[in-house]
Amino acid sequence: MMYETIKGGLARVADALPALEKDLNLADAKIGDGDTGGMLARVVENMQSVTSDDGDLGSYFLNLSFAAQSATGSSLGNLISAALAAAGKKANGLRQLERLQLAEILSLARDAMLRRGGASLGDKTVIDAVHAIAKAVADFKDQADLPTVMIDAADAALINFRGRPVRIGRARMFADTSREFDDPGMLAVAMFLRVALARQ
Amino acid sequence: MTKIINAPKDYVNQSLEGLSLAYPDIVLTGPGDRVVRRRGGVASGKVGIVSGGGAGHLPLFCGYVGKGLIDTCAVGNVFEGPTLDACMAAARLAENGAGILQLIGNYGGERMNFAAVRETLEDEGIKVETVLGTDDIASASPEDSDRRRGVAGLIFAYKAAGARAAEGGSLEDVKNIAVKAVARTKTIGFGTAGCQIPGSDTPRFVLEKHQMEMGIGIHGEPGIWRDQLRSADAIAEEMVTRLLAERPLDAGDKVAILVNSLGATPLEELFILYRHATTILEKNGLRVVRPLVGHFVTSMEMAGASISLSFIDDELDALYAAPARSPAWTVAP
Repeated sequence: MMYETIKGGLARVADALPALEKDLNLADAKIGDGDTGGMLARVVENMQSVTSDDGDLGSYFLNLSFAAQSATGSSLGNLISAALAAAGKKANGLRQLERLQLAEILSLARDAMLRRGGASLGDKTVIDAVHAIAKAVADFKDQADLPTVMIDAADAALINFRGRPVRIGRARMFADTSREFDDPGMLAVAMFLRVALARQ
Repeated sequence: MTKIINAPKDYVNQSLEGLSLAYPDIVLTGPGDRVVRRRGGVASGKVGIVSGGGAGHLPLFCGYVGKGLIDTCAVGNVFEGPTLDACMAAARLAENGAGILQLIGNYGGERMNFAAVRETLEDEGIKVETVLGTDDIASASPEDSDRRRGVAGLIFAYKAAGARAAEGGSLEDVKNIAVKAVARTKTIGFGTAGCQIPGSDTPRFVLEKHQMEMGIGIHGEPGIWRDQLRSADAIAEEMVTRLLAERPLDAGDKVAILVNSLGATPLEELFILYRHATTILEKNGLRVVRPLVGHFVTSMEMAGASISLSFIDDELDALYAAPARSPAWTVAP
């Protein structure tokens, strides 16, 4: 995975934003404010302006973190920013990520989000999706099919958490209702990955 | 829902611009003009009080920037915490040699951003304390009260802390009185119609005609029950009874009350609620002091109201009575 891969994926997400934004707002309206899509659209738009002259993934991730940070002060935006900052530190000087490096960076991003937000794994948050993807990437052996593995892991995480309540944040107050619906952050990961990695 | 706006993307900044034009004692500054500060800044040696929160609740949060209240405030998008940059700018503007109290509602984005601000400023040798507003009794059980959200009762903490800072209190003094005001203030709200975020296709929540939801949060978080609309007296009685059940054990006989519109509910209806709420309080042997009735913390066009009770002693009473001047709350000298 290189700078061009990520930049290209981000561009595909940006192109698909109108539909993604609407779907995520609708999903969030069931257990939140109904604005997750709009908030993430602003984050993606800000990230779109971030470029790298030399392809260094460390500085690219850090600049993406700053872009997220300046777009929103929401909890989810905060977590995204923390994840990218952790990724940036680890990827400093790297122009390409091999499978195990990607798995490690995803794990570090997950841990940074846990620290920043105070959630635990199993609380049904975006962090559970990142955890599932990190584990799948670490366990899988065939680099060529990595995009499929990541998309499938995000989808599986969504399914695994259906029927379970959200245990943190505003959505925890929706108790039983939150069992019925996907966490908007987890859903966003699955939807964005599918678009970014161009699987229809 | 009909909104009087120019464009959804301009909703927050244009409302802040109007606020600052209407009240020249406050100034917009910082990243994206999302920091509100007192004109003239913080006096040297005075503890600075910084707050912050999402838009959509005016006059909370930034409408309380002023003399005897908070000094600076970071403003986020609608129902969304302010950015880290705005929080940092607001905190730096509040510091003038005596340290800073971060006085914010208990919301994830605000907690995370102000924690990062605190870490940075403490590294620079600036003294920082943080107090979270947690007055919404419907948002978690008493055993879990540190998870409760901050709603209308936060303004009592603003008032107490602001007055203590204005009289020259140390950072510890200001923090302690804010903690005391938070501990002694309880709020519950109800809604009869939801609000809609500008640009969103759907209202935050929908209630059938003649239905109400008791305990609803200021972002439409679900409450305790949803049922047929009751009479004003029945609503006031249930709210006050629930609040009295949370009366601190060491509380005296004085209680300050805030009957607050969530946006669309008019003053007439607030006074009808106030009328019966005070009757019940007096029947319980409490003396009602410093009544506030009006729009103090809203959720745009949401219909409904909240009642906050602050179980005060002489110290808090004196601080609530101290002079203050801000767009939302002025106490004459």
